[in-house]
Amino acid sequence: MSAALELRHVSKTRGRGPHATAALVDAWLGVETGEVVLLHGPSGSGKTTLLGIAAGLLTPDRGEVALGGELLYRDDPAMDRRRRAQRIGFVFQRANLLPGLSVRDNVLVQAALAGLERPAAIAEADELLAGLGLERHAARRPSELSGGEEQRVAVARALVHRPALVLADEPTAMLDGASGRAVAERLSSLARARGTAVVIATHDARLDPYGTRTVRIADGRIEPRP
Amino acid sequence: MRYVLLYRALRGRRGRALLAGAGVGSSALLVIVMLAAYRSLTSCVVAYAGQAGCDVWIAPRGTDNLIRSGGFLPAEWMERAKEAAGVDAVDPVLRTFVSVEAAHPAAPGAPLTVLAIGHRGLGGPPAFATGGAAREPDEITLDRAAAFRLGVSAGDTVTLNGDARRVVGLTRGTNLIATQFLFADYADTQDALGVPGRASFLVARLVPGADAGVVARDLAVRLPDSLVMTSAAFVAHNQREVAAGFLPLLALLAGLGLGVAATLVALLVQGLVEDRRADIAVLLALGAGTRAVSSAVLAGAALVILAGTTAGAALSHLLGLLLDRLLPTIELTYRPTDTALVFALFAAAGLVASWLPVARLQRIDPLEAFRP
Repeated sequence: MSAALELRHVSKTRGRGPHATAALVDAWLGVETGEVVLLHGPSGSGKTTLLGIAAGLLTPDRGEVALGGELLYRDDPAMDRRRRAQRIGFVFQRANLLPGLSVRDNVLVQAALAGLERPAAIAEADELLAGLGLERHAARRPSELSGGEEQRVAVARALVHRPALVLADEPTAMLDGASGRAVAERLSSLARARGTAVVIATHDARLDPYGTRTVRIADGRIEPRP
Repeated sequence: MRYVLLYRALRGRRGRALLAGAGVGSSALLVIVMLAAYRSLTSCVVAYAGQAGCDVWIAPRGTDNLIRSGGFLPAEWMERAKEAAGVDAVDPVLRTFVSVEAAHPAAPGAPLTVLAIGHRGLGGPPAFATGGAAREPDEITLDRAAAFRLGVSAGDTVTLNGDARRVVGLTRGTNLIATQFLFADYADTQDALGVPGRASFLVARLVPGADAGVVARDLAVRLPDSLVMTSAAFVAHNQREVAAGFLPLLALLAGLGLGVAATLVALLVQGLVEDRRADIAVLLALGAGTRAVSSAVLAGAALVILAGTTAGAALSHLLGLLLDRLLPTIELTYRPTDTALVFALFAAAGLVASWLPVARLQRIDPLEAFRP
């Protein structure tokens, strides 16, 4: 079976001229289905660059990226966009919910982008919201939720289309300890239950119990190498 | 589901959209009303110059329309014109400006200068709003808007260059906005002008089946110092004259209206793209295509244009009804094709104006969604 995500010999330089910095240097990473990989590293170490490249949003200078065995950055960009919509879920540092939509519709946006039929999408969204303790908030606007609740909605959005991979960028950085742990616990348990691979970029050691593996990144280099 | 959600996710602020829609509506109202005023003028000259029975118009050389006419024809040319084959009847028409005033001192209107048409038989009023045609030399008929301005009705007495005349009918389709028609006895008008035995035009009615073009060519030979026109040609010349005076102003105002509407829509879209930049980045990161996001934004702009133009069109028709009842001086004639044209022009202008801000949307980096 193919790995959910594979990065091989991936390098990326950000900036130009005297401001150019090596954001990723010969990075290797393989994430299997059902794994929850914690990507630890300080600010500026290359975590977000790695997530951007894994998502098909940032073309690497060198190397290969494969999502479920299919290479990214080889086809029409629209094809990579469709792969991203269908096979990847995102949890950002901020919940990044759309303020004009209800909680349920925020979840349904990802389902719609992935091409799910509306009845199936609604059923999936409601099940996830119930699993995250948010069923009472389905019709509310994001502005009516707490930060922890918003981030749990983001978790539902990331999982509603049953993606092969969830990329989470510092998902607990804006939350207090209890809320952060709740989000990490729900994300990892739901992902494992659905066989979804998860990469969580974080420098929050409190998340360690929720990962199945930890890799470190510093100055664009990932340790340990496979 | 995708497009509906994207549209709802990127919907702009309601207050801003309402203001932009109101601006678009006001611009559309202005353009539609100007078009309706132009149509009213055109239909007025068509109604008079193209009325039944006026098959051939004979004018002094150099005069081809009613609005700007100069010179006179000898009235005795009527007899020469009647000799032409196919001519059934010929009557004189004398046009001039006269001062008319309500005879009753309590009438609210001030003295008015109107375009008097002195006629006998052919070339009279095309249609009546109330009352009927004059039968006696001291009777006149008057455009209903002029009557409104003077504060008189059918049955009242007015003074025409100082002489008392009774208004027996109010005419319709005889309002040139800048001035209105008054129909008086030909001899009366001759006296007012001091041009006995003269006519501004001769109007010929043809026998049934006669070819107007053939008769007009024959008359041109018989009356060598005149310009002979079929009714269709005379109507076309009058329409050209109206268009020459009105269309540049209409084009200018329509252009300004379109420009204002387009600018408002562009500002609305620009504001939307700036306000929702972070949301757009998130949608792009989640896998939305720039085309889908652009379409959602453009759909919002299109809705504002549609709502604004619809409101403008509805208000313009309401305004037409109100003016018809309360201020008939300004006559408006609406055509569905004109309203459709305004819709199309405003939609095109708004969508073209949205192009630049939408193009900027396409440069938003989805990685912005990762920024804290």
